[in-house]
Amino acid sequence: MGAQMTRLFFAAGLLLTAPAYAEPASFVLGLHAGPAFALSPLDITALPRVTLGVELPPAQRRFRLWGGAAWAPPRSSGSVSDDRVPSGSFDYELRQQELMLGGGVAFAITNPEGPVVVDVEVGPQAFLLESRVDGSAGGEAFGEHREVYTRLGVMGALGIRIPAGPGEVAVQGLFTASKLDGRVTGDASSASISPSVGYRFVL
Amino acid sequence: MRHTRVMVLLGLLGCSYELTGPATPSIEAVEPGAFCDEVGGTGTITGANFAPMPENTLTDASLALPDVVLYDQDETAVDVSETWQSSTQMQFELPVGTAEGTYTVEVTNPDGSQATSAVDFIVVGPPTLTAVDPDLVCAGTEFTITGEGFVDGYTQVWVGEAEATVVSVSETEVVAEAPAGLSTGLHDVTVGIAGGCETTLVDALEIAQEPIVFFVDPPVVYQDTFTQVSVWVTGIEGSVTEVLLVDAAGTETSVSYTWDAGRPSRIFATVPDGMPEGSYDVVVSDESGCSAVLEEAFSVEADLSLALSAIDPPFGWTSASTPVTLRAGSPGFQDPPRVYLSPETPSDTSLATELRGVTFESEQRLTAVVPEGLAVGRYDVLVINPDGSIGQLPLAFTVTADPPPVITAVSPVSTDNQNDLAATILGENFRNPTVEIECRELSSGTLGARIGATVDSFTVDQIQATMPTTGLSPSVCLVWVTNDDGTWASYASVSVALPSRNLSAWNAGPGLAVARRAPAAVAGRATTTARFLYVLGGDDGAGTRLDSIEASAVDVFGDLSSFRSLPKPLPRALSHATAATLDRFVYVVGGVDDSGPVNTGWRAQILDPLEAPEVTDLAVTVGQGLGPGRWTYRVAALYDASDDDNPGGEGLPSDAFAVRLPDIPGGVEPTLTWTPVAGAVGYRVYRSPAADAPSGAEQFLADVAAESFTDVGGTVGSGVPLRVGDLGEWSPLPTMAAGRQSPYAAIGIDPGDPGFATLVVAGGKDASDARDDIQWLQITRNGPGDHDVPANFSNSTTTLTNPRYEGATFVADSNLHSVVPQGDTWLYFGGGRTTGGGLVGTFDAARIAAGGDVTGFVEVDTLPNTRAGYAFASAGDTLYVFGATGGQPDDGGDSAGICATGLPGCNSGPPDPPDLQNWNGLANEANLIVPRYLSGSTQESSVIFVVGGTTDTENASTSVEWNNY
Repeated sequence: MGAQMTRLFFAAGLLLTAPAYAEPASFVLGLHAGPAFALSPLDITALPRVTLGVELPPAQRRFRLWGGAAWAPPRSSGSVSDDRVPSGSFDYELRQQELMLGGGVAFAITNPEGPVVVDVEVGPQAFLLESRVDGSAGGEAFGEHREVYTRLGVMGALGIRIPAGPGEVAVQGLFTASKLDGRVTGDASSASISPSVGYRFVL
Repeated sequence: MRHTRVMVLLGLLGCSYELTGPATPSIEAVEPGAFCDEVGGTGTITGANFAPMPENTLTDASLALPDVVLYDQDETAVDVSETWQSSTQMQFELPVGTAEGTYTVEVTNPDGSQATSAVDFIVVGPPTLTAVDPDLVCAGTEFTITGEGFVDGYTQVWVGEAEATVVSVSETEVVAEAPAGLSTGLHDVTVGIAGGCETTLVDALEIAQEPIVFFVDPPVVYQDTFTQVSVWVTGIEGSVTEVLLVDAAGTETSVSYTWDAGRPSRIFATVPDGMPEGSYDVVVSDESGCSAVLEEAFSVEADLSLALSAIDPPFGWTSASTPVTLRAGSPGFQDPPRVYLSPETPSDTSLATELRGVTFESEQRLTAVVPEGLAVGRYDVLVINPDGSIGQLPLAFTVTADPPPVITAVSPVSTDNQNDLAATILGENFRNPTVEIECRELSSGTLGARIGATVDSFTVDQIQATMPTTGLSPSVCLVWVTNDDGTWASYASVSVALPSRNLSAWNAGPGLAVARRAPAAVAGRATTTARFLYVLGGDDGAGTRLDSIEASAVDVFGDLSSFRSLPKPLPRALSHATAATLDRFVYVVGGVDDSGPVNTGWRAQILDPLEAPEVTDLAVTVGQGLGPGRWTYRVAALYDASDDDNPGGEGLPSDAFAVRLPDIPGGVEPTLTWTPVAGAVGYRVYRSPAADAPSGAEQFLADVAAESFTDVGGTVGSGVPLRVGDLGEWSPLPTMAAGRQSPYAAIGIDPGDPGFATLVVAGGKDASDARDDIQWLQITRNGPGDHDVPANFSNSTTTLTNPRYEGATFVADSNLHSVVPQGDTWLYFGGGRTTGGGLVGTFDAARIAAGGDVTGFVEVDTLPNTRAGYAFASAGDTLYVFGATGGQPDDGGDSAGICATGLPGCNSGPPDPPDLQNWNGLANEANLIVPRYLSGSTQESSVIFVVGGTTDTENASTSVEWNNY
C-alpha cells in the first residue's frame, strides 16, 4: 500500500509537468476548516486546512492534482494510580501538535459540469508531530517533557462541490491518519475524521 | 535503492526525533550513608530536577521515573527500585543481600540526562563484639564496647531492650551511656549497624543498683568546726568512692569519709570547718560509677542565735560517761536539739562529738550524756536546734585525764548562822581542792556569789573545811569543791538556819494533778542530774483509792516542775502505803486497798535513759512503703514477764531517730537496726504518725523480737514512748506477816557490805489493830537498776516499844548526819497511833546490822506533841516532824537533835543508836502553809517536800510545799 501511494504521488507530479492540452488547466486555492474527531483518546480539536490544486483538462476535467497543509492541536489528560509517587497516583496532560503536509489527486465521480459534483480525494501526508506532556503527584510537579518526530500518513476525502461565485463551495468528510508512536503517546495513531467546509477559488 | 528514495523524501520533510526534559538532574546527598547487607533498606537521594515523565498516554498510561542505578567500587551496576517524592528527592530500595562495599548512585531522567552522586554510601555486615568494659555500670554512665565493624553515625547500642545513647564510635570501639530506668542485674548488649546488622553479647553488662541518699544527719552543722555527719544511703555497689558537697553555686568539695561494708547504709563524712553558709547537696559515688544526689541535704550555719548559757558540769572524765545539764536563755532550746562538743582545735581527725541521751526538758533546760573516750582537752559546746539556730559556749567543756571530784555527802548539811560551819566533805578524787559555798537566800531567793571556805585538811576522799556561814541569812547553799586541774563538784545542799534550827518559811510548789490523802511520797533519780519527786496512790478522802502516780522533776535548789501522771500506775488502788527508794528502785509496802490493809509490797525501777537501744543502721527498699518526708522513730526495750526488775515491762526509748525519705514512686520501706539492750526479749518501735510530724509525737508501731525492724508503712497505734522519770512495771515483794496500814518502812545500806541493803517494815495496822512486829528483807544490790530480793521477809527478834502506825521512819546515815559513823544506818521510829487509835509519842531507835537484821533496838525519846500521819525529815543531825498534831490537820512542827557522844542530856551516843536531844517546836514562820494530816513527805537535795493529805478545808488536797533544811 505504501509503495503504491508513493508511485501515485510521483505520477501526479509528472502530470503536472506534462505538456498542456488545448484547454489550459485551472488552478484551485481552497480554504477548509472543521472539527477533527480523533480515533484515539485525543480530544476533539479544530482542523484548518489549506489546499492548492490544478484541474487537469483531460477526461472532461475530472482529475485535479492538489497539495496542501493541515494543522491539528489535540490534547489528552488523565490520572493513573502509581504507588511509586506521593499519594499513590499521578495526573498528566498531553498537548499534541500535528502539522500535516502532503498532496494527492481528486477525481470527480459525477459530471464535473453539473451543478453538484461528487468527488473523492486521496493522497500521502507527512505528519510533523510534537508531544508535550506534564504531570504531578501529591502536589509535586514533574516538569514538562517534549517529544518531536515525523511520520508518513495518508489523507482521503469524500465530498461534493457546488459552483458558487468565482469558485466553489466544498463540503467534505476528511480522513487523516499516521502512526503516533512516541514514548509519550505510546503506540497510537493520529487518525481522525473531520467534517469540513471550505471554499475554493478557481483561478 | 527504494529505501534511499524514502529516506531522501523523509529528509525533505524534516523527519527527526527529539525528547527533552525540564533540566539535567543533580544529586546532593544520599542517606543513609550505610546499609546493612542483611536487611537492605530505603535510601533517600536529595538533589534537583528529578523529572518523571508520563508515557503511553494514549495507550496504557504509565510513568517513567528517573532511573536509579547503584555502582559498586568495581563499577558493577545494581539496579534498584525507586520511588519519586519530588523533583528534589527520590528513594530507592536496597535489596537484601547486596554485597558489602562502597557504592555510588546514578540517576537518569527519562530524557536520558544523568547525575552521579559525589558521595558514597556503604553496605556493611554485622559487627563483631569482643568485650564490654566496665561490665558493671550505673544507669546513665558510660561503658565501652570493643570489636570491629562499627560505623560512626550508623551505630546503635541497646542494653536489653532500651536504646543507649552512643557517645563516640570508632571502627573498633563504641562508647555508650547506659539508659536510665533499667532494672538492676545482667543485660544483653546489642550493637546495631546501619539499622539492621545487629550483634548481641549476652549478659554482657550488669546494671548496678543506683545508690540513694536518703538524708544527712544532722541537717544543720556549725561553720566553725569539723563536724561528722551521717550520710544515710542505700544501694552501694562495691564501696563508696567519693562524697562530694555541692553548694548552691555548684562548687564541689570532696570530703573525707569512712564507710563500713558491714554497715553499708551509713557513711560518716566530715564537713570541714569554714564551709560557706548555705544549703549543700550531697553526692555519693560508688565503685560501679553510680552517683546519688540528695539536694539540699544539710546546711551550714554560722549565726549564733540560740542563747546557750551553761553546761553543768563543764567537764568530764575521759574514762567515764558524764551526765550534763545545759541551760539557755531566750531564745532557748527546741525539741529535739542536737548537742556537740567541738575540740579546741578541730580537724578532720578531731571532730565534733555528738552527745547521747539528749532530753529536752524545757526551752531553758536539757540534759545529755557526754560519752566516755573523748580526748583530753577543752571543747566548745554547740547546741543546734531543729530550725538551724545554734548556740555556742566557747571552750566551755573540759575532758580530763583524771577523774573529777565527786561529793557524796557534806556533814553536817545544816548549821546555824552564828558560827562558821566546820564540815566534812566526803567523796572521791579530791586533789588539792578548794572549797566554796554558793548560797541562795531563802527569804528573797537571791543567789549570792561564791564564798571561799577554808580547807583545813584533805585526803583523796575527805575534806575538812570551815565554811563562812556566820552572819548569813537563812539560805540553802551549794558546796563547791574544785581540784587543782579545774574540775569541780557541787553538792546540793547545805542549809544555813537560825540558831533555833528553825526552818524558814515553806514555799508552795506546783499542785498535784489529783487530790490525794495518805499518798506515798519518795524522791528518786534516773541519773545523777535527773531527779524526781514521786507521789503514789492515796485516796480522795471519801473512800475512793487511787492507783495513779505523779512525778515532778526536782532542780538543785528544790524547784519543782509541773506534776505529770506516769503511764504505769500502782498494781492496785492503794492508800496509806509507805515508800522508800534505793538506787533506781521505788519500794512500796503495805497500805490499804478496797479490802483493807494489805500484806503486799512491790518495787519498780526508775528507768535509766542509758538502758535504751541506739539506732545504728538504716537500710531501705524502694517501691512501696512510706511516702516522702521526715519520719521519726524511737525504739524501747521490752522485758520478759519473768524479769526481776521490770517484769513484762518496757524501757525508756532510744533517742529520736529521724529519717528523711525521698519522694520515690511507690514509697520506701526503711529497715532500722539498733544495739541490743541487756535483758531485753524484744523491742517496741514507735514512729511519728505522719510525715513531718513534730518530734515527740511518736506512737506505737510494732513489737519485734529482733534488733531490727522494717517499716512497711503501717498505721501507728495509740501507745506513746515512756519518758525519763517513768517507772517500769511493778514487781511483787514477798508477802508480809500481816496487812499493814501506814507501816513504818525504810531502807538502809548493810554496814558490812554495801552490796546489800535492808528494807525494814515495822508496825502498821492490820485488819484489827496496830502491830508492833518488825520484818526485814535483805536486798542484793547487783547494780543501780538490778536488785534481787529473797522469797520471804525475815522476822526481827525485837519489836517496837508499842504497836503503832501512821508514824514516821527517820533514816540517819553519814550522808545526812555528822554524828553517824560512815557506813552506819540508824532508824528512828517516831510516834503515831497505837492500839485503839490513840496517839503515842514513842521514839524507838535501831541500827541496821551487817546481814540485814535490825539490832540495838531502844526507846530513845518521846514526842511531846503527839502526832499521827505527819510529815517528817532527817538531816543535819536533826529530826523534823510537821503537821498532824493530835492526828488532825495541823501546820506546826517540832525538831530534835541527834545526840553526839558526850553531849549533855543524852543517854547514849554513837556507835549505838543515840538518844535524841529535847524536842523543840519550830518557829511559827516555819509552819506549814497548809495544815495537814496524812500527807506524804520526802526529801531530796536538802529540800523537804510535803504533798497532799487532809487539810483543814479539804478531805484530800492537791497542794504541795517545800522547804530547805
